[in-house]
Amino acid sequence: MFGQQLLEGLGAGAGYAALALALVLTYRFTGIVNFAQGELAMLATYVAWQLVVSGMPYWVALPVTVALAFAAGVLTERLVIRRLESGAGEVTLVVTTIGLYVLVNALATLVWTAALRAFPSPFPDSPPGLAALAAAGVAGAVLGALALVVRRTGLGLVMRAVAADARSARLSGVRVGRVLALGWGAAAAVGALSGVLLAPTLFLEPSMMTGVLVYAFAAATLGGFDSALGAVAGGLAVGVTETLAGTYLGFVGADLKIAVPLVIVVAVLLLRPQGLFGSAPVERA
Amino acid sequence: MTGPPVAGAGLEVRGLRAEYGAARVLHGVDLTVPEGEIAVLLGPNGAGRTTLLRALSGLVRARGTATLDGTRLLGRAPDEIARLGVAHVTQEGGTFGPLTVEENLRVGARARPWPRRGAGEDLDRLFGWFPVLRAQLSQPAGTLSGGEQRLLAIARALMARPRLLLMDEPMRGLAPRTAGLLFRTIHAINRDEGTTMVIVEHNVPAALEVAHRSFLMEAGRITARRVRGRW
Ligand SMILES: Nc1ncnc2c1ncn2[C@@H]1O[C@H](COP(=O)(O)OP(=O)(O)OP(=O)(O)O)[C@@H](O)[C@H]1O
Ligand SMILES: [Mg+2]
Repeated sequence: MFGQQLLEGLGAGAGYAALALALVLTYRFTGIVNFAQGELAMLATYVAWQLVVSGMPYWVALPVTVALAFAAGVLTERLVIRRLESGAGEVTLVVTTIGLYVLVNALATLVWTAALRAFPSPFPDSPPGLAALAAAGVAGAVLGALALVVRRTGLGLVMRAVAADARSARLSGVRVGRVLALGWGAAAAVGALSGVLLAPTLFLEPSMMTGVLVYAFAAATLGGFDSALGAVAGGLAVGVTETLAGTYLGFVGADLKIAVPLVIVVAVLLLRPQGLFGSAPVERA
Repeated sequence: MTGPPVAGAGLEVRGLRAEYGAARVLHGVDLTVPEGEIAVLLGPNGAGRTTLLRALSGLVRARGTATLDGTRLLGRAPDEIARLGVAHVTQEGGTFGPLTVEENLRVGARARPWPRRGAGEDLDRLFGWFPVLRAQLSQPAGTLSGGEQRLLAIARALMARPRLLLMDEPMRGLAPRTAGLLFRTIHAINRDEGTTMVIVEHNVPAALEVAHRSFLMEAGRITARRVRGRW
C-alpha cells in the first residue's frame, strides 16, 4: 500500500517536475515567468490525445507531441516574444504570457469543448503503479539528457552564457536570438512531456493544467527558481508529499491535499529563502 | 571573408553620428586607424568615447560610415560584427558570472574565424600573460576580484583572435603592477598578431606609451589627433 502510494506520488511528481523545469528554463533564459507554460502543455496533451484516439500508440504519440511542442515553442518566441522583447519591459512580457494563457485556454475550449475526456492509459491492463513508474522513468531520462546537453556540450555552454549575460554573449558572436528560440522550444517540449505524462491520471479538459501549474510553481520555488536540478527534486517532493498526505493524514483528505506541498514550500522558504538548490545572490564586498 | 589586404585596410570611420533618444552624443566622428596600429581615445568624462565603441560593435545604432578592412560595420547586429572579427571589452567588463573562468574563455573562442584551430595554444599563451586566470580556471567568474574579472574579460576577447580589439578603460580597477603587465601584453599582442586596437583610457601616460596614434575627443567630436612613428 505504502509502496504503491510512493510510486504514484513519484509518477505525479515526474509530471510536476517536468512543468517546473519548463518554467525554470524559460525563466533562466529570458527572465520571464511564463504563466502560459501549463496551457501550452495542455494544448500539447490534446494533440497527443487526438493522435492516440486516431490510433497512434501512446509511446509513439509522446515523442511526436514533444517534437511538435518544441516547434511551437520556437515559433512562439520568434513570432510573439521576440517582437516585444526589444521594446517592452519584463512586466509587459509577463502580462503577455498571461494573455497567452487565456488565449490558449479559449482556443482549446473552442476546438475540444470543456467536456471531460479520459486519456487512454498506456498500460490498460497493469496496476497503476507501473504507469507511474514508467512516467517517472521517461521524465528522468529526458531530464537527464537535457542536463547532459546543458552541462557538457558547446550548445549548452552557449545557452548558459546567454542566460548569464545576453549582451556579453552577443559581443562574443553568439546568435542570441536562435539560442532564446531554442530555449523556448526546449521549455515547451519539456512542458508537453509533463502534460502527456500526467494525462493518463488526470481527466483531459482545458483547465487540467491549472492545478499542475500551481504545483509546478511550488516545485520550482522549493528547488530555487534558478536551478534545474532543484525544479526536478522539488517536483518529485511535491508529488510524493501530496499523495502521501492525502492518504495518511486523515484530516487532510482529497480536498485539502493540494495545500500540503504549499505549506511545506512556505516552511522551507522561511528557512532558506533562495530555495533548496537555488543560489543566493552573490554579493561581493 | 578577410581576403587579401585592401587599400585603406584597418578601421575607417566617417561622419559617425549617434544619439540616445533625443540626446545627440556623437556629432560626426572621423577617425582612421590603419591595420595593425593601436589608437588611444582620450578626453573628458561624457565626451562620447564609450558611445563610439558601442556604435562600432553594434550596441548603439549610428549613422555615417565605419568599415573594417573595407567591410561595412554599421547596420549589423553585435553578434555579426563580432563574427567579422571585432571584439569589444566594455566599460562594465561583462563576464559570465555563473560560468567558470575556463567556460568564459571557451565562449570567447566561439567567435574565432573558421577553422577554429589553435585555441589551445592561445589559451597557454594567455595563461603565460595572466597566470591568475590559470590558477582559478574552474572557479565561477563571479567570484573573481574586480581586477581579475577585468583581465578575464580581456582574455575572453583575445580568445576570439579579433582583427579589431576595442577596449573601454581596460586599466580601470587594476593595481599598478597588473596595469603595467596588461599594457606590456597589449603591446606584445599588437606586435605579434598585428591586431588593430582602439583603447579608451584615462591613464594618459600609460596609454600614450603604447599608442601609434591618439585622438582627443570632446563633446562628441574629435578635436585633436597625434600620429607617432612605429616602434
Ligand atoms: N544609455 C544612455 N542613455 C542616455 N544617455 C547616455 C547613455 N549612455 C551615455 N549617455 C550620455 O552620452 C554622453 C556620452 O557618454 P559616454 O559614455 O559615451 O562618455 P565617455 O566618453 O565614455 O565618458 P566616461 O569617460 O565617463 O566613460 C554622456 O553625456 C552620457 O550622459
Ligand atoms: Mg566611457
